[in-house]
Amino acid sequence: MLQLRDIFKRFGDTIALDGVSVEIPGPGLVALLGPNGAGKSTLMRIATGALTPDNGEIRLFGRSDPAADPALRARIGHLAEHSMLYPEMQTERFLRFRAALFGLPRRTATARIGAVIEACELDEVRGRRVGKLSKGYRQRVGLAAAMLHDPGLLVLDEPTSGLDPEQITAFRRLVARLAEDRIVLLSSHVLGEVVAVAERFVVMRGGRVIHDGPLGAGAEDTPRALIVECSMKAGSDSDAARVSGRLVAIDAVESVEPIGPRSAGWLRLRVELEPGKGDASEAIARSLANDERVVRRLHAEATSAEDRLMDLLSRGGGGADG
Amino acid sequence: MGDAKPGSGRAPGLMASVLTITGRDVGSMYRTPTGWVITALYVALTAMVFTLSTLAPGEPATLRYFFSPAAWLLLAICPAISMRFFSEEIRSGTLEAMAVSPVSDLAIVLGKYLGGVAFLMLVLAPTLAFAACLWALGEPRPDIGAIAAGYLGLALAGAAYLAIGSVVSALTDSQTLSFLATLIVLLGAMLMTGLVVAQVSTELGQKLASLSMAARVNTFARGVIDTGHIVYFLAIVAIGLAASVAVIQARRWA
Repeated sequence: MLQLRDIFKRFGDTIALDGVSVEIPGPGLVALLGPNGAGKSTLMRIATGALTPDNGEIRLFGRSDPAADPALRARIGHLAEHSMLYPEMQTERFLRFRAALFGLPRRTATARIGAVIEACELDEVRGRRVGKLSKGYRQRVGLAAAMLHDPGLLVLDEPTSGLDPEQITAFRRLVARLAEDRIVLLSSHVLGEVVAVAERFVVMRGGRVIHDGPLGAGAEDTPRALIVECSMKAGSDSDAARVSGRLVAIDAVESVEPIGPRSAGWLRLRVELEPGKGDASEAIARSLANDERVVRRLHAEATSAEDRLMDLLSRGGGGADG
Repeated sequence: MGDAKPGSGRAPGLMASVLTITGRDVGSMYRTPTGWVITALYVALTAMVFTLSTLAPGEPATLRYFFSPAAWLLLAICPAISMRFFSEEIRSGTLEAMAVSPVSDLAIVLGKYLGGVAFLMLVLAPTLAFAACLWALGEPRPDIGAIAAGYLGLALAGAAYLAIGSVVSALTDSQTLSFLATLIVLLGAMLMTGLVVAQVSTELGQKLASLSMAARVNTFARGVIDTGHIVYFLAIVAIGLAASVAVIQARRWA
């Protein structure tokens, strides 16, 4: 279990983390999302013990403060955004060095190095100097080093940076497998990558957690837009404008636009809702019925996870601290 | 990936961690041109010193006049070694990678420092050829005890320079700045306690002179092993390493 409670961290005049609380009760993959400067990397560095918070409590596997507890750090694997590698070392020699740092006995180290080299597909570069490798390979060496000691908490900051699409797919499979029996905390700028593997999303902005849970779930997540299909009044070309005028008059409706293709006798509209004013479906249906129109379809517009994230970030923030 | 439940790792012992880091750092010096350049430079310069100061026909076979300039040359060599302790690792992030491993800050500092000392010994080792040369050519044969004492002084002075360089290196992520700042600190200390106080006859001047590293190296060069001098150099090492640990620990707060 990982518990980060009321974590506060300030760098000079900048508040990097402002009372962040996140609890991860057991194995699984949690994605950490947010714009640059949101505090993701700082939170990850605190979770690994690289950084000590000014205030707050960190508990991991029943122990506290990894920064002051080397034995607890032995159970943490960390891949930072920028690979922390020695360019002059050969891949395998570097992994052997890391294994020694984590106190792995020689025989165990050999077995583990073989396993991570296979898992990260590093066999063909095991004898090459890290500094001579492509960015993608270097990233994989960093990932191999993070997994080497089979950590119970794996912290991955932008792990797919530099990987090609094929490698990203393989990485997703690997991370999903790893998350079966350990906590994986992962951050990425590319939302599509984490949506495919994570079920829980901690969204940060300005050093605070503004969402903690599945993306799109929760009472606060009313649809941004509705798709409405209603009968047309025969022969009237300005019918769409008339319906739009009626619907815009509804308090929660921000704008209305006709969307095609228009089938004979039916109008298709996209109704954008004002955030925070609730679902206007009922009011829209009543208004159209009063205008003697048949409503054939009325449903929330399907939104991508990216839209939902943008929606969360554009809202007021705060309040939803997890 | 693993058979056992993940996350059940344990921290290695202090000495195991220290030796791991020391071994990597020494190997790393010779995997890059830096190590070879430093060694070659020092050997070439000391060879010149040896030729000019020691190989004189009719003079006694002694390395006494070799050790003092050899210690001055270390003023430039040691900052070049110590600048790699932390500065480069802070910049590249490898120090943080070590900080999140189960290795204590003390082990990191000791490992890095001992790596530097071991490398310094490898830099000094080829100069033993000068002693061998003197042994082969000198008549009467040189005093081995005096040569051993001179090398002890050289090693202790180098160890002290590296400890001072270690603190400076932990304070900056720029190798250039680390090199220059260490060089300035060491030169300043040598000048303050040596050349400058020679011109000052005040009580303060005498006190400063009593702190002179160069004077102590000269004592060793004469074949005198003074326990007080050994303690003096070891105290500088201890203070330097303690300060380095404090700076590395403070990085977890910054």
